[in-house]
Formats: sequence, C-alpha cells, structure tokens
Amino acid sequence: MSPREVPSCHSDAVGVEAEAGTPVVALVGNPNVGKSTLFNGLTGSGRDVGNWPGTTVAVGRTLWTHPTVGDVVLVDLPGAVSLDPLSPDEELTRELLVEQPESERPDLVVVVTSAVHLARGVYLLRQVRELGVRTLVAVTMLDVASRRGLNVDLEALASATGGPVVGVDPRRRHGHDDLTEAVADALAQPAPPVETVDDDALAAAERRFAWVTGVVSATTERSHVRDSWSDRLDRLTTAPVLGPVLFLAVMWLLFQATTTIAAPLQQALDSFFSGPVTSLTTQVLTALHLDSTWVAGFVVDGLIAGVGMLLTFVPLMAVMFAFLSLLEDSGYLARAAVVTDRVMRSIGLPGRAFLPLVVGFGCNVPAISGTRVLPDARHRLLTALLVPFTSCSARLTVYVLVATTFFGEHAGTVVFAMYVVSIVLVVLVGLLLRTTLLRTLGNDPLVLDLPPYQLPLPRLVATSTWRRLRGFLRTASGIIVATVVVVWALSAVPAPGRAGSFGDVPVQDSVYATTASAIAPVFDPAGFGSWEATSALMVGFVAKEAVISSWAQTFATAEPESADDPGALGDALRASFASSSGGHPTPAVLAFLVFLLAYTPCVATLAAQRREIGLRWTLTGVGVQLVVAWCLAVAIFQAGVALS
Amino acid sequence: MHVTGADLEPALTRRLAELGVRAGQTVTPMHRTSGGARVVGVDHTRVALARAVLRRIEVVPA
Repeated sequence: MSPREVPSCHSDAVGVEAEAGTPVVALVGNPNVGKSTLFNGLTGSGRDVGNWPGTTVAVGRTLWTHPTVGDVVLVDLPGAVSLDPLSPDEELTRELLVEQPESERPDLVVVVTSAVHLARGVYLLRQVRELGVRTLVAVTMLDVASRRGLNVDLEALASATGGPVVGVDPRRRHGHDDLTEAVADALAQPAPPVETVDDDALAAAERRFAWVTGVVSATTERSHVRDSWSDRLDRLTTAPVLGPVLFLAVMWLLFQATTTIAAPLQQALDSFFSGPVTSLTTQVLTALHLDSTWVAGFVVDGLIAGVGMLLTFVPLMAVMFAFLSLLEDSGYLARAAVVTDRVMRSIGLPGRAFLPLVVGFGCNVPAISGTRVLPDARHRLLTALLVPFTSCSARLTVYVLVATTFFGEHAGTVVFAMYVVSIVLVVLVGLLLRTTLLRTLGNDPLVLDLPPYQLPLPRLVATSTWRRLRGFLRTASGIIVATVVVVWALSAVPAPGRAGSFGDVPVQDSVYATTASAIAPVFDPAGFGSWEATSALMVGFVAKEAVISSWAQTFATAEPESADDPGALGDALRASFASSSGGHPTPAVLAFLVFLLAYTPCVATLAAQRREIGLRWTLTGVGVQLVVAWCLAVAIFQAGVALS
Repeated sequence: MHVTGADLEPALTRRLAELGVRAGQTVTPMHRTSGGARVVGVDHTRVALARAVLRRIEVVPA
C-alpha cells in the first residue's frame, strides 16, 4: 500500500488531489481507542498517536491504496465521546459527519471502539447509523478487556448491531487484513436509509441507551471481577499526597533526561557547527578566494549559524517528544491531569496544562508542542500563549550575569525572584487573557476518563517521536534560519554615512546598531534606553543564548568565561546602565531583567507557536508579551526612582 | 450504588450519561484523589469526577 497525502484545510500536508468519485472512508471513535494508531498502521502516514484523549487535533486525510477497491481517501476524525459535542475538537467531528450535506458525507464510517468501553462505542455507532451512512465496527483492546474478565463475542455483536464487525489490534498491527477486506465488502453494500430521530434530545438519548444496553448484554461475557492491579496503581498515582510527589518525580526525570541526554548532544552539535563545519567552510571559501568578501560572512555567520541553531534544538525536542509519547502511551498522563487539576483550574485551565507549563521552565519550544496534550483547542491556545512567560534556562544565563554584576552577594535572591515573577506572570496573564481575548473559555469541572494502563511499545514511541520531530523541523526551520540571516545582514550593512563596506563593518557602525539606536528611546521611561541594551534585546528576540555574546561584541570586551564572573563586561555594563538611567542603575537593571523575562523568548518559540496556534495568534501573543514587558519595566523603574 | 439522576447543566449530564453515569446504572465510588476529586468505577471503566459534580449526582444504595 502506498499512501499519498491529500491536502486538507485542517492539516499542513501537501500532496496529490484525490480524483472525483474516490470513496471516502472515515475513522470515528471515542478518545483513546487506538484510532490514530490504526490510521497510521493502515496508511503509514504521519499522524500523531497516543493514549490520550484528543491527540488527533486536526483532521488527517490520506490517500490509501486499497488492494481491491483501489484509491480510498481515509479520514481520521478527532476522538469524540458522542456526536453531541462538548469540546471544539468534538464539534469538528460532528460538523464533518452531521452538518455536511448527505452527498458529501463519507461513503463508509469505521466506528473504532474499545472492547473495554464497548457501550460508549456502540452508542457512537448508533448515532452514526442514524445519519444513513454505511458503518463498520472495528473492536480494539480485546486483549486488555479479556485480562479484565470481559469477553466480547464479535459474531454476536455483528448480529445484535445488524452490521459488520472486525477485531483489530492497531498497536501490534493485527487484524488489518480483515479490516481491509471488510471495508471493501461494506463499500459494496447500499447505503442504509436515514433514521428518524426523536425531536426531544433527551428521549432520543434514552432510546439509544436502551438499545446499547441490549447490545452490550447480548455480546459481553464477564468471567471474573476486574483485575485490580490497575486500581491499586491508580490509588498510588492519584493519591492526595503521593500523587503530586510522583508527578513531581516524573517531571524531575524529564528535566534530568533533557540535561543528561539532550544537553551534551546540544553542546556537541554546537561545537561541531562552530568548529569543524565553520573551519572547513572557511577553508573552502579561502580556496575560492571568497574569504574576505561578504559571502564568507553570509555563509558562516548567517547560514551555518542559523542551521546550527536549528539543529541544536533537535536533541531537546527528541527527548521531549519521546517522553510525551511514553506518558501518553502508558496512560499515566490522564492520572497526572487529575493530580494537577485543582492548581491549574485557578487560572481556568485543566490539570494537564501543567505539563507544558512546567516544561517551559526548561525550554519554551518543546513546551509549545506539549500543549497538544490538551484535548480542547481553546485550552491549547491559552496555554501556548502563557508558555512564553515561563522562564526558560536560556534566560537564566542572562539573569546570572546581570545579577552578579549589579547585586553581588544578593545575586541568588534576584535570580530566585525572577522565577517567582515568572510564575506570577503566568497566573496574571492567564486571568487577563480569560477576561479579554478568550472570554468564551468555559471552565467545566473535572470529568475525565482514566484509560487502561498499557506497556508503552518502543516502536510506537519511536515513530511518534520521529513524526513530531519531522513536523517541527518542517515548520520551524525556515523561520529560524531566515531570522538569523536577517540579523547577520543588518549587522553587515554599514549605516548611511559610516565607514565600511557590506560584510566589513564594525557592529556599532552597522544598520543593526542604528536600528537599535532608533528603538532605544522607547526604553527611556524604563531606564535602559541605550543602544547597547536595546541591541541585546533585539538579539534576544532571536535567541536569549546570544544576549551575552552580543554584549561582549557591542562593548568590544572578551566574552566572560562564565556568567557568574562578568569581568570587563561587568564594568562596561555598570557604566552603560548608570548612564541610561540617569544615575539609578538598580531600578533600571531590575526593569531590564523583568523585560527580558516577559518579552518574546526566541524565534524558535514563535516558529513552534505558529505551528500550533497559527500566525494570527502568534503575533497577538508577541503583542501581549511586549506590552506586558514594557508596562512592567516602566512601572518598576519609575517606582524605584520615586522610592530612592 | 444506583444512580437515580443528576442535577447538572444538560451538556454535562449528557456527557456523564455517555460515560455510563446515568439513571439506572450502578456506579462504585472508589478512592479520593489529590485535589478533592474521586475515582468512580462504572462497570469496567474508571472515571475521575470533581467533587462539585459528584455532589449533584443522585444515588440510592444498591
């Protein structure tokens, strides 16, 4: 089977158009039944898979070459408990099934249901049937159910529901051939008539429940009481004290994994690009007699620096995605969501939003991708807008340098305060957004299905990690490399009236410096309206890691060996802040630090945001960050001056 | 325990019903979780419900 992707307004996939008349087969199912795993298994296409409600965010559409039918458009709809939606993702499923004209509805709906939650799947089947569409039931998790003493008789299910039924195991790719055959048979049947449904929604639901109860009792046999190891585990993972402790331990492990696995790889990649790759390129350029031209600067400081920066994110993202897959696939994520629910509800987010926000303190980029654990699109949006306010580790190096320079032995307290400010900002901006831009956000109380625990399969974790990584590289690479090249170009062009030529100009005489000087007066009310501070913030927009090296370049001092020993750079910084603040460097520095914390974290975060929440909301977020950062910085400086 | 009804907004009542917590069904209250919610056994499945939701579900002893 050779899959080809079909363009869809809901996915960034590009590929061939399906020919008119190509049969459309939709996969519909409750969250967590293995629907996306089945979709991937059938088509080999890149959709995210996970044991978590709502991992299918957008609608996946792939051209599936069926061995007997030929081309079939296979559609993977978002997980839905029923066709009466509670979340925007469920609404999408309803829209694509119910609100389409009959002629545009799928030719066949495969209702994927778990044997453990048979009643829920059968309820959904009933609703789909009422639409007058051909249906086929694919029952998953038969093994999990039988371990729990539940045996589902598939033949009895077929006769009780009056339609075809097959058993599949998407995680181990069993039963795909049966399903493929059943799809062909079902497509050959005439479509059933549309059923008339009771106008009273409650009465209609009652009739469905009565039918479901009949079907389930005729097809399910309970041999013994459910194995209680899963309950015992739940009692530990969601316990009042132990639950949060376990959750924090899991988070600690995640950070350990990023520092012990990803950080050395990041450093190695960084040294590889700034070392061998740069020197080899320089040698090639020298051989071509281009070493003293702008081409050398463009290639080395633009392209190689940009690609190098992009690739240093890869180990971090890979660790993060692998960890997310493990949490999702095992079923633990739902338990973590229960544990953190109350804390997060204070800012109107469900418990699972805790995960991306915690991850944000390490790095905002994977945290933005981590918002996918949220089944509701509005919650994903709010969380993705809040992540930039979590203080990532790249900002820490700047805090340490600045705090050591200006506050000496109190540096530790200042750095700690930055983290407190970060948490306060997440809460306050969360409340602010909920009362302004995101007023429609509901706050439904916790009602969460706890999916069965499963042993994560390495193959599933690996493919899910690779798919997410590929998606990140596809969308983020352009923005990151382009921005690094633009910054290089601005610093390579001499400002009008200054000496130098393209690619050969001291940074203070470049267009970059004159741009910084032009922006600097904006920061006068905050006490750091110097071009040196402004240019550092401009570089910080690209990456906070670059702030210190940019200062070293600006002040023409050596880059400090470590952030807690600022040396000559410290002296230059003290002089610069004393002058820009009119003799009040302390409030000016505090204002600068808070600005640095609150404004746009880096261009890679923006790239990740664009992927998750779209360009419009990404730009809105940048606006919110700049306004919040500027207002806070001005307030801090003015209050500091007034008090001194 | 047998569920006899729920005094919640219609959408939430319907969702609970779809998850198996509806009049005529038997549910088993299980352990309390961190944050004040409770795990409820519905047949072979487990659902975590906030205290505010639990309070509004009417039950009689089985």
